[in-house]
Amino acid sequence: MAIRSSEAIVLNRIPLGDTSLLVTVYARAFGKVKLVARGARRPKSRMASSLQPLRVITVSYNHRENRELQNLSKVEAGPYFRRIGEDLTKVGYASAVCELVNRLVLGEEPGDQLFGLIFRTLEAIDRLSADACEMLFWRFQIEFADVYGTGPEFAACLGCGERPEEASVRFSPSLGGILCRDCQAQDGEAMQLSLGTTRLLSRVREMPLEHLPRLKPVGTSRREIQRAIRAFYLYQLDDGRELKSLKFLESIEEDGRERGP
Amino acid sequence: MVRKYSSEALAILVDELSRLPNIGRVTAQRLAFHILKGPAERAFSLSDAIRAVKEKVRYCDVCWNITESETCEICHDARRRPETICVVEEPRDVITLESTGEYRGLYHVLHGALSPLDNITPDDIRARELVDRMSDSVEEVIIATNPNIEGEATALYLSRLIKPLGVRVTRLARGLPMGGDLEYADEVTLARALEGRTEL
Repeated sequence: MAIRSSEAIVLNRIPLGDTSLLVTVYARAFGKVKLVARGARRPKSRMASSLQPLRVITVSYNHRENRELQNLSKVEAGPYFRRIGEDLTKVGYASAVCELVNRLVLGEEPGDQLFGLIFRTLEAIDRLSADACEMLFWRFQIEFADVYGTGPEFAACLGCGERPEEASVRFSPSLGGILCRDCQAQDGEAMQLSLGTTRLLSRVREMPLEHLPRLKPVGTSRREIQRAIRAFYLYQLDDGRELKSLKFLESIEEDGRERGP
Repeated sequence: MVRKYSSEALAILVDELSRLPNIGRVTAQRLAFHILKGPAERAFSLSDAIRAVKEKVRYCDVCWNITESETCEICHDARRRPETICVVEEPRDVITLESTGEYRGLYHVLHGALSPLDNITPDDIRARELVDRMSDSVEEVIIATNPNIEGEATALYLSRLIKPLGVRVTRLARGLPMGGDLEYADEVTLARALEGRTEL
């Protein structure tokens, strides 16, 4: 048994018994870890406020090999993304970041790169306007796949390697990139994407985060990106289930539309 | 599973008890043997209480608190102030607030809180019913949802619905517990306490 300590981001927490919490974190040093926080729901516990989803903390726990759950012994609060909690759209997208990591990362791994990505994304959601959240989430999803070497290819055809010149190409969620007219037979289910949208996606990937709000994709481009990234991730998720946080965001948007401005 | 016991009735009882939250099979078995060994009247009384709670208890037509009639005692009480409505997540929160003896207004029980991670949306809680209660007599809505990410999201959503109706929306203060030590307070609570400080 060794004592481990690492900076971590809380991905989720569920009640355990009457007074404890089962907390899932993504730790910079160890990747995804499930921790039991005994007594965290007692009124005088100092842990409860730090063990909320989206919180950055430093955790210490006694690591036991071959155990799925580890016992949390100490928590220290870190930076707090306060403005996320002040806007429902920001809460929804920040939750989607945590949910996606929780569902796609299986367990422990060297987590430095992904931890940095999650932190930067939450920090940008906190700092930038709510209108930028959707683009920040697209960017996060592309970079998340890049961390594992499975990032989608938008610039060159996966089949021939050429940069397509035609007005529209096909995007294959299963192959993870675009196919030109000559190569589109490689995936009969690939979806249509205009060349403009593929260029926009390349810019979403490369632009500094704080400049993303300048892009403002609307209409067809926005719908094409939503459809392509959603299909790409549903293919990666074993059970093919949509993210709950995105469904939540849809229902909040729908509710707002029903009520009018 | 049923064959493990020499009595099928006992096996069914263990099975039913183990469906309760936080009750594993070992605890369920211990409880079942406790019921079996105890006086018959006590066991019948327990079974009657479970039946009665399912047959008689319902939700108040106005505030969605637990009651045995169409409207709960609080909504029925003419001494309560109808111009203030306190919004809570669960019926047990009404009991907690009532125990203070400080609040004399009415309640509204949401039966949950918005949660992006669990996809609990406005349609899953009693939010529309709260808006329907907003009349000229309502002056203030106190949002007493839990101070966690779900409770805060719910408070944001409700204030977005109610404020345009010209009703004052307030949130319970957050800060230090009575009898606690400052040095044991966590950073976020302390920051909120500083922010919500009051003049003496």
